Amino acid sequence: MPVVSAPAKEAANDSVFRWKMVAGFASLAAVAAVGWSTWLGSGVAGPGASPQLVQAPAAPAAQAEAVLVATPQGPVVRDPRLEQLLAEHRQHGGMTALQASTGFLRNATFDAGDNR
Amino acid sequence: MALTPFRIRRSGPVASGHRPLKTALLGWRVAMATALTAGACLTALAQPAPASAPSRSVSEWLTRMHEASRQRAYTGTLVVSAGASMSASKIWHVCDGQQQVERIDSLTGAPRTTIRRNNEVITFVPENKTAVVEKRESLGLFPDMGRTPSNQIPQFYSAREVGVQRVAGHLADTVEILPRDEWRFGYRIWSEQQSGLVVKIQTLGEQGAVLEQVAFTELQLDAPVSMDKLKQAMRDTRGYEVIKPALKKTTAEAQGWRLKEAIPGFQSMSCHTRETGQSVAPGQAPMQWVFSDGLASVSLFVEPFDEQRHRQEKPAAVGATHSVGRRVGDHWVTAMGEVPVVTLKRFIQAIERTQP
Repeated sequence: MPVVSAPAKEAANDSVFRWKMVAGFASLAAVAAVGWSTWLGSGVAGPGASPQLVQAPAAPAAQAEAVLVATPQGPVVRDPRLEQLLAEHRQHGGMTALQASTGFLRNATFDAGDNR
Repeated sequence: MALTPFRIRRSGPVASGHRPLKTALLGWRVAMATALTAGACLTALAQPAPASAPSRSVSEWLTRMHEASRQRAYTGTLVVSAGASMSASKIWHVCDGQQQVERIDSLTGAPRTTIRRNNEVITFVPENKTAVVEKRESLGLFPDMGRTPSNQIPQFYSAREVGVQRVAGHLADTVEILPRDEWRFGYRIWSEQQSGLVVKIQTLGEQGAVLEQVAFTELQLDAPVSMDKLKQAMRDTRGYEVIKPALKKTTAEAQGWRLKEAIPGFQSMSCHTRETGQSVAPGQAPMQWVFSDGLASVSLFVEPFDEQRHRQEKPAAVGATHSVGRRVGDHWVTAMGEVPVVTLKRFIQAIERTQP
């Protein structure tokens, strides 16, 4: 018996060109928005927000001791001076009623600020 | 009260013409009251079980949590989440009423093992084969600090019991320890119902935002932990270079510093200088001056000003720990602690040099 092939029907989950156009335009807009905020140098945080200790400083050229570290958010520059103080604060500054219950465990668990 | 309408109905024959209407209204009122009471009972049954313990004050809660860590042995896995980072460790804890011994093995970042016996601490770092030996003053402060007349915690924090939740497989009382002013953060604490052990704690910023949290993801209470084996591991430093940080106890006054204004609730707790190995002029060694209000602590770091290193006055943060820096004459002061930035700014504005 001859096999008669039915005319090809478009599958319901086939990609549609107009949707590709929409997706492409949305991606372009997202890239533009991220690029704009990066260029402004302020990110999405408000002016009153505190920056993270692990961040790229405004003038990396002058940070002779800064270290470039790869993170899931991309390469960032760590401030070793602040991290050193953070480690000292955790070791000797934990004057709290919760120190014996969780304070010490918390400080010993943190992997930032190597013990010296 | 529910019997009253029936008694009135029985006296019906001698009542005035309005009496049946009044009686009917009263009956409806009683029926509604009964329905409301029944509804309230059902609602109460539908809600999570209230904490079985009676209301405790903030000091009572903190003492209960502290005592639990002195009386129960456990093993568990602890996770600390601060900002974008997350760290985890495996914990062994044992105590005999007199001494506590615990071991913390890091599961993230560089491998290291920390073992403490009361306030003696040793940290083994296998990567560089070093063992750092220290005494932590902070571990001996409580509960004595909480019992003294100078205990100011209730003056600056209040406790609010929230309910009961399950954490790491254990039912825990949830209590919020909230600040009474803007100079400190609040805490939400999950305390295991039977023992009082803290199984989870969140540091709360403005409008209750969670800045940092510490929680057990797995916890075995009354686990068979050998105190002798932990002590033995603490002493076994073979193959490691033992380092003792050179800290020298001092006072801020002796170093030529003072606060011209007190920050509400914060008391000076300790002060030390760190020897850098280089000869420095008197009063020029890096100093750490620690303050506490009983729950939050602040370190004031004072070091000689260095144009290359000390350039940023902007606040920085990691989790609940914030820092602010400022130049004071020939020195640079960094205030760091688990408090709002406004508190740190008040500290670095208040510190002043008393000696040239």
